[in-house]
Amino acid sequence: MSIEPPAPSVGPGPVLLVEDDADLRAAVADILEDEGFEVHVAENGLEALAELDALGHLGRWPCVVLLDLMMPVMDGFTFMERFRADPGLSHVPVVVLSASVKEPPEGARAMLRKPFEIPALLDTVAGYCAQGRRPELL
Amino acid sequence: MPLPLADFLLQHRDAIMEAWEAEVRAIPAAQALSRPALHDGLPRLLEGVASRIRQRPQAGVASGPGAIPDLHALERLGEGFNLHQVVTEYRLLRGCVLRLWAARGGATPYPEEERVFHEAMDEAVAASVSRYTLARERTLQALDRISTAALGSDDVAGFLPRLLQVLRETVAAVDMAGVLLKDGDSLRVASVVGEGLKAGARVPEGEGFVGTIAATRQPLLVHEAGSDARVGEPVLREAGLRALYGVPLVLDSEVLGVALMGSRASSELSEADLLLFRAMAARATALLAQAQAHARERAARAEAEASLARLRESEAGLRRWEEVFTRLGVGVVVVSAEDNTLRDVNPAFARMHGYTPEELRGRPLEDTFAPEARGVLHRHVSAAHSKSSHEYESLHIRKDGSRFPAFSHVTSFRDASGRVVQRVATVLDITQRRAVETDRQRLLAAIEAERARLASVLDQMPAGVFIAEAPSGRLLMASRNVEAITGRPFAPSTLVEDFARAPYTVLHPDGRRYEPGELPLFRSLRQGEEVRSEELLIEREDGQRVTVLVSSAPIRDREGTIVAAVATMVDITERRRAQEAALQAARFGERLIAIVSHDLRNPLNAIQLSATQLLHSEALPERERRLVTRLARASDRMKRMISELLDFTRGRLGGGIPIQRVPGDLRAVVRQGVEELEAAWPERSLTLQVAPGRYEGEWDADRLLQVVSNLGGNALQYSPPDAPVTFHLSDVGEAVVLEVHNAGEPIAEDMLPRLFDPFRRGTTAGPGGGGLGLGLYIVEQVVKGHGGRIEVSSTAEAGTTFQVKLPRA
Repeated sequence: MSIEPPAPSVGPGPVLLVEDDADLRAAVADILEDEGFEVHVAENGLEALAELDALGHLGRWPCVVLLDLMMPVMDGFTFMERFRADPGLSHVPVVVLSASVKEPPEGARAMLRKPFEIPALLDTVAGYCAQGRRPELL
Repeated sequence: MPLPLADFLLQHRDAIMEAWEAEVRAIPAAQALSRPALHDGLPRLLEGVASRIRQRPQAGVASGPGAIPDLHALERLGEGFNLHQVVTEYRLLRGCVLRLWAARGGATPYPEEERVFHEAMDEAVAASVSRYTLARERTLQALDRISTAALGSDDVAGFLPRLLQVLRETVAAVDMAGVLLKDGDSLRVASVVGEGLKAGARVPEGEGFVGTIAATRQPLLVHEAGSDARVGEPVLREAGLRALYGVPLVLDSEVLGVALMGSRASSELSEADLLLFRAMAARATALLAQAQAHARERAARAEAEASLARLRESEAGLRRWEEVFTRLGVGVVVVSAEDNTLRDVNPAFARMHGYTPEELRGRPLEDTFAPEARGVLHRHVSAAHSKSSHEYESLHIRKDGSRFPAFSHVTSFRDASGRVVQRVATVLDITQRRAVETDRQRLLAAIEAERARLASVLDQMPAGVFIAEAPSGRLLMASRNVEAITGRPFAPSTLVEDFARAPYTVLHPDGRRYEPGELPLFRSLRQGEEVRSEELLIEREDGQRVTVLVSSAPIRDREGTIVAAVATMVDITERRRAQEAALQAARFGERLIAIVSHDLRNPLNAIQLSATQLLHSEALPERERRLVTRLARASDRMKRMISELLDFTRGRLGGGIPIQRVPGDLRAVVRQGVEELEAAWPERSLTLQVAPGRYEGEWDADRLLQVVSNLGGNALQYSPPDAPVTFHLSDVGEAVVLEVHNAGEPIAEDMLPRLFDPFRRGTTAGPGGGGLGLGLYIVEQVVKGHGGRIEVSSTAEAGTTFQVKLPRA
């Protein structure tokens, strides 16, 4: 995990989608991409951290991280612990996607309860990543 | 050859004395004397006279009669002869000699001899008379002094010293005089003058000088007291005396004591002195006897007076006892040991038996005993005779024939030989006591029966019951089940805390050991705590664990003091095991549902998102659009089911559906719900009536929306298509009431109690499709989560109404 100061943003950052369910991951990514967002995906917390690291090096911090909680390898809770431990990431908003918990883990900005519907998803992401939305769909 | 007178006297001395004795016995004083005492020195006098006659040729130097007449005179004075009698003795002697001399026949060869004989006899008479007179005079004087000394003193201790003083002054040779009086088996020096003896000293009777005199009753004279073997007493031997003379003091053949006189200077005491001493001793004896008689008389008088006083006292005592006897409430009876008759009875005894005392006196003791009790009477009589007292209970009879039980205490009185002469008994009517005793026995029996009944009831109970008493903390009883549960035989009197100790262990459900003070029975006994169904584990010796529910309570007396505590013990091992298994199964099921419903959401969400996205595509042909629409609706239903399943498991696993109340207006919520329903059921008629009032409160709007949706959905689903569904909202003050009503078939009565159970569903499925049957369950959970209440009424006439009452906060 990087301890460097965040690199200056070089354009709007992508949506980082962390979800172990491949179908849901693909469906969400399709919908977001249809709406003009750039989407990076990760299958679990560990991959997400690596992706964050990589994006950070490029100076392209995600405009939002959509984080599933129940995942193999590294679940969303562990990811959040690591994420919060890195002050360099504090500016990156995290929205939790979950069916089971009542409250999002500490550090998350919002939560989308599964199963969510397209308008809710788009409204949430747009809230953080307005600049990435395709103008023709607005 | 003619016989000279001198020879005649010598040869016929005994015959002369014999003839003399025959005549002289006529003298009264001579009659009691023994022959030697009577003859005294007279035979030697005859020999002396004969010797004088022979000496006649040498006339002119004729010797006198010597000391014999002197001594004889003193003897006779001592023996009570008067002077005339003494002279008569000589006259008779002279006469006897002459008569026998003449009777021999033949001429007197030497007439001169007869003259000398008469001369000698005359001299002897003269000497005796002279001696007698002198001695008598001295003796009389001494006796007179003694009498004077004795005058005015009737006590022995007072007059003896004076007597002895007189003696010492009268007899010049005497240095020491003393009197010993008999005192038990020995002789005690009662008084003494001069040196040599100590007053109070004792000598034994029967031995030594004094003892011999007392035993033989004869005077004794020794000449050297310090060396004479007859003087055995050390006190006398060491007294420095030479001549020592002792005389017994005899009165009426009883020896009173011994009088002693002794001389330091001389080994001889004159006959006159001895005589005088004897006379004084005789006189002293009389005086002593008199003094002793006086003393005895005084003692007797004193004794008589004392007896009289005692008698008076005992008479007073007797009167007191008489009174006690008469007034005593206890029956007293005096029974003759000889014939077992009633010698005397007191009024109480008579009253007890319904008689007067007079009626009973003289009757047989047996008459006071009930005939059926008389058989054992003789045993009690002999028991009373064999010891000092005897107690027994028996059945007595009254004059009217009625019986009563009595307790008797008998004391036997014996005469000097130990024979029982009478018995005295105190008798108590113990009817009352018997009745009490009988009552007590009956009560005890009743209690025992009660206890046995209780024990058998307790034994039949499925629970083990045990009781401990306060304050000892000991177990009184335990039912058979306690033994069965604990696997340990019950021992009464075990302390409560010990009962829960080795060989088994009592544990809390979490495995902690019970401290003795924590045991329910102990807590009830000591702190009065009532314990209800406390679960505990008993680990037996073999390691087997039994789960039991123990309840206990104190038992208090009227004052509220804890007197005991009772505990019940139910073995719930099996039940607990089954519960545990059921719980495990339920948990597993719920967990399964949670996992499944959660995991289902991801693919469902993918389907839903994709279908929706597909429907947005304008290029979709109509047929495919219908297919995708069906896909979307099915996934929507599925989403709802999964949502319900999640709510259900959340409710079950997490202790109820989470409710987050925020301030808001309930009307908006209900309105939204109704609008959504109208959208979903466009062909149905829905009405919302809101009564005037206040609808602000703290609500979980999402959850209450679910309530409106579920209740409304149900009402629509379970009513005919043309039946309206009405929502009615009203303000009841602290709460707000929502009623959802529909007409139509009522809910079956047997369904009503289980209506809110999970996985229940109605008999018909409406257009919304069959759910999981969790709708009403969730409604109830949400309402309860708001602290509210839901009720349902359903009749064919009125239709079905669900009423939800929600407190504002």
